[in-house]
Amino acid sequence: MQNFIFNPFHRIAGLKALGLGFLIIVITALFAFLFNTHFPGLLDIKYGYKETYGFLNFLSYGIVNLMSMSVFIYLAGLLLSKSSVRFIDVIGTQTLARAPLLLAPFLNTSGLIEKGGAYLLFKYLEHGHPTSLSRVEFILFIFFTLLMILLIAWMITLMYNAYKVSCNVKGSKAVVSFIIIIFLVEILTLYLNHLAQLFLLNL
Amino acid sequence: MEVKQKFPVLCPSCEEKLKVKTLQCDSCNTSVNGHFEMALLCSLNIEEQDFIIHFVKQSGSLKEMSKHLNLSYPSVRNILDDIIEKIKNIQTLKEL
Repeated sequence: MQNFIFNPFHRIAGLKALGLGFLIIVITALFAFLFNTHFPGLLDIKYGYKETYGFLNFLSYGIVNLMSMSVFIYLAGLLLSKSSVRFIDVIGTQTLARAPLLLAPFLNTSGLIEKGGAYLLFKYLEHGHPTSLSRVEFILFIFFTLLMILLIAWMITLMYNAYKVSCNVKGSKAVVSFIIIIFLVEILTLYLNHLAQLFLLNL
Repeated sequence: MEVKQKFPVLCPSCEEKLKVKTLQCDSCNTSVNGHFEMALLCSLNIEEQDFIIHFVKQSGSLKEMSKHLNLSYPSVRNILDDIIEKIKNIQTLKEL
């Protein structure tokens, strides 16, 4: 069971993983649209943007993040692996690795993360509007934030295992190259998502 | 219950590769003594030997192997690549 939660790719990869993963990305975009949840970078979850976004904006996050990561993983596989790496395995496993984000929109259904973020921003950086939080709200805010971090950690673990299985890269070579990829793709996706959102908002 | 014995490849004492000294006919109890090299496939563990046997039986199709083992295509390819790497290392060691 533990193996299936953190590394389902021994059993599922390629087209099957791509189909299932893409369905999850579409459903994630739908929930993100309903609960105003944004994924502006590979590992970023943000709540409560003021602008009005359409469903396509939310779907574009998933596609931009997925495609950027898959291309970088594929290139790393071609460079570092002795096996013949197939792009369908890379994109399939990486698509499925994004499944934990399906739960992200539900963490903000009460609006607590958004409120807690505004509270911390005003308290420590004197930015935004004064916001007050009760003790219970603060505890729940910490709890939901920790859950959010766990979701991201789960997704990173899945992405790493997807990389190892789809490209047959092991040991320190796998760890170091994956850290570099995550760092580069995070920067790239912040930029690409910004451009994609500007484009879609002006449609 | 029948116990499946594991074919020893390395010496349990010094971990050097073992060689075959005696072969025996189960039918007439004739023994042949000598100093025989083990076949390359014997240097692989039981799971790897099983994989190779199934792979040959599936006409070398990774797709069929993934169905047979209920594993994803890249997982099967990785197992095969690891066996290839191991065989290459064994052959290199033999040539030295």
